[in-house]
Amino acid sequence: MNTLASILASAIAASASLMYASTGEILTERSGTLNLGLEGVMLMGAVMAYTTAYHTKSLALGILAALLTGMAVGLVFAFMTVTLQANQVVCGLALVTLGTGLSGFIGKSISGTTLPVSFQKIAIPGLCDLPFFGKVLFRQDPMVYALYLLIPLLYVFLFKTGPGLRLRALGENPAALDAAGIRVYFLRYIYAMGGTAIVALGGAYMTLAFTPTWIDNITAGSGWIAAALVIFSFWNPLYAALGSVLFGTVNVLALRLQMTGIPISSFFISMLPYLCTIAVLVFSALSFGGKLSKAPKALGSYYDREDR
Amino acid sequence: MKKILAFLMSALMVCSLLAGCAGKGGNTTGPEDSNASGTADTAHELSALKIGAFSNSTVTDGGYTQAFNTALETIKANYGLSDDQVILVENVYDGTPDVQNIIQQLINEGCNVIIGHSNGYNEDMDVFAQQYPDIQFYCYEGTTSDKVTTYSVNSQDVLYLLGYLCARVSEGDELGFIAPMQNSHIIRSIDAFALGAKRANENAKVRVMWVNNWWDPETDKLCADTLIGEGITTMAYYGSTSAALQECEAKGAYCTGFHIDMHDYAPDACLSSFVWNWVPILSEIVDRYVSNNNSHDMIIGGMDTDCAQLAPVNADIVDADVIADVEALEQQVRSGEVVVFTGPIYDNQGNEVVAEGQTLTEEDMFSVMYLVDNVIGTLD
Repeated sequence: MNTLASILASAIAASASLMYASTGEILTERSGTLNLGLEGVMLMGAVMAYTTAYHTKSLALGILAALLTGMAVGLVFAFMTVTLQANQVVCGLALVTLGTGLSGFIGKSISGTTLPVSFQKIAIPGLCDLPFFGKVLFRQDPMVYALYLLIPLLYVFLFKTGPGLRLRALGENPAALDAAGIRVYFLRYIYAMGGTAIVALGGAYMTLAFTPTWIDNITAGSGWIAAALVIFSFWNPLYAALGSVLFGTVNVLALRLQMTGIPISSFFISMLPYLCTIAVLVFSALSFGGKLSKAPKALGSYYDREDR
Repeated sequence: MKKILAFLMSALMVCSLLAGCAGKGGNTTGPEDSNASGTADTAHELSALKIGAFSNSTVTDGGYTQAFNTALETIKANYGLSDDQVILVENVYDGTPDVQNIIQQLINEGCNVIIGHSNGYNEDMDVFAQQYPDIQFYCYEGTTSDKVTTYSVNSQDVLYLLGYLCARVSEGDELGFIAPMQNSHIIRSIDAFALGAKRANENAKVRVMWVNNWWDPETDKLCADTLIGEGITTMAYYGSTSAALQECEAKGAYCTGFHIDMHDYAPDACLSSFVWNWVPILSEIVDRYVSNNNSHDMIIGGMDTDCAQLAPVNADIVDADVIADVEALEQQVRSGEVVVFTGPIYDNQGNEVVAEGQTLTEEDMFSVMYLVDNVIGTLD
């Protein structure tokens, strides 16, 4: 039972919320808006999805609620950063505090309860019997399967299509787009809202599928990890998925290590996933010989037509 | 515009300063009143009682504070206290400056009994206990200070029974134990669980997984997952979330609950639970206030005083004869025929920690920091 396949399967299930969050954030950051409020958005998505599913007993409505919440939060954030041109980092941090507090408030009445319906693992007939990958990839719950479609789709969108090129240009040189007559503000709004909607799905995954319960601060810092993973992935959805799985694998392995009885402090074991992420970041920085920064050049600064 | 804004901001600042002052000024009569009437000989009126309690999670946390709050409500009903005589502040995290602020606020509100429902509050409470000798301070466990009374629930009897139950239900020799943090209470509980398991099965072993967090459903679930992956299908859960039980239900394993009867979280997986009933302890606190008892003696509740309860064993998944045996063992423990920490007991490094024929006193039990011999796990 304790095979590589079962470890990877657990890792994928554990890292799905990170995958949603980092992919959504890639969308937002590629458009030039730095949204550090992932933790708050995930918590809001989680609590709204849970509350809706709890009261309506419908998972579809829960997902819808998460998407709408994400878009609403994204709208507020976009208004502050794109129209009011406030500092993006500060707005993101404010979003974290707002999201954490508001979600705790909303979730008070249903805290500690469990969901009557939740996403269960479904084995896809046929594919689930493949020798290694069947066990790893095809015995997961529907939200993970949605990721299998979402991530390649976003990759193709970003790197192989016209609108994707515009998105990348938006983050590199919005002035050029503006000169070409494309509506920069409108697009930044769209991508900020779309990105946060996907991040909110990451939160919804936690309360609808992974641990179908709500307690205060259920994400426990995953939003920050996702923000770091975006940088780790060089703003590429495929690498983000890989990074999330790596993180999840080390997390799961760390717990298995406890089982082997090796006298390593369990606190050290808890640190391992983070150490691993740092190690990979350092390694990739060194191997790129300093040409690390593949960040979108216009990331983090607002676009003002008057400044052109 | 800027001048108006600046004026408004400074007016706001002055107002908030005044509000703070008014609060303190209005309530300094509180402690003085009790000074006048609270001499060592006179009893206190129940109507003068004001309890200020605080805990480190919410009342809907599914376990720890929820059980405490339920007991507070029962006490209110039993003693006929009004709502403003009992204050409960939630989400006061241990070791943060919030703790002292909250205690100060509660004192300003006129509370004469302050209850800190977590062992991390002890040092902060001691600071105030030294300053306000007429207010009674109670803290859950923690190191003792001579002015703060500690209260606690003894877990070993019920955990012994749970260990016995799990070992009888389990098909293999290995059981699991998902523990949140490494403190004496939890280590004692693991030991009691392991000893109970040994009673049912000589070869029973207990694998411990440390979550290192009080509320982390994700890690709880992964721990349960890891144990099940190792082939351990019967485990004890010692936290507050429902994640581990739900994972066991999803994977067809068995688990025991904690704090409240967790049967509803997992009807097909929950064997029983270790339920904490705070009512007798809170009643004692109220009685001590009324009788002006400042003895600072520790208040310990156990199975005998109904503070530690074994939830009804789940008859749907456990055989009737096992249930009958558990009940018989419970009677033996209650009557004193079976004492959990009776020697010879060895720790898992091979040392003898309790000699043959000896039993641990309550004081000894509070300094237990070793894992007994059939526990597989390490302490940091």
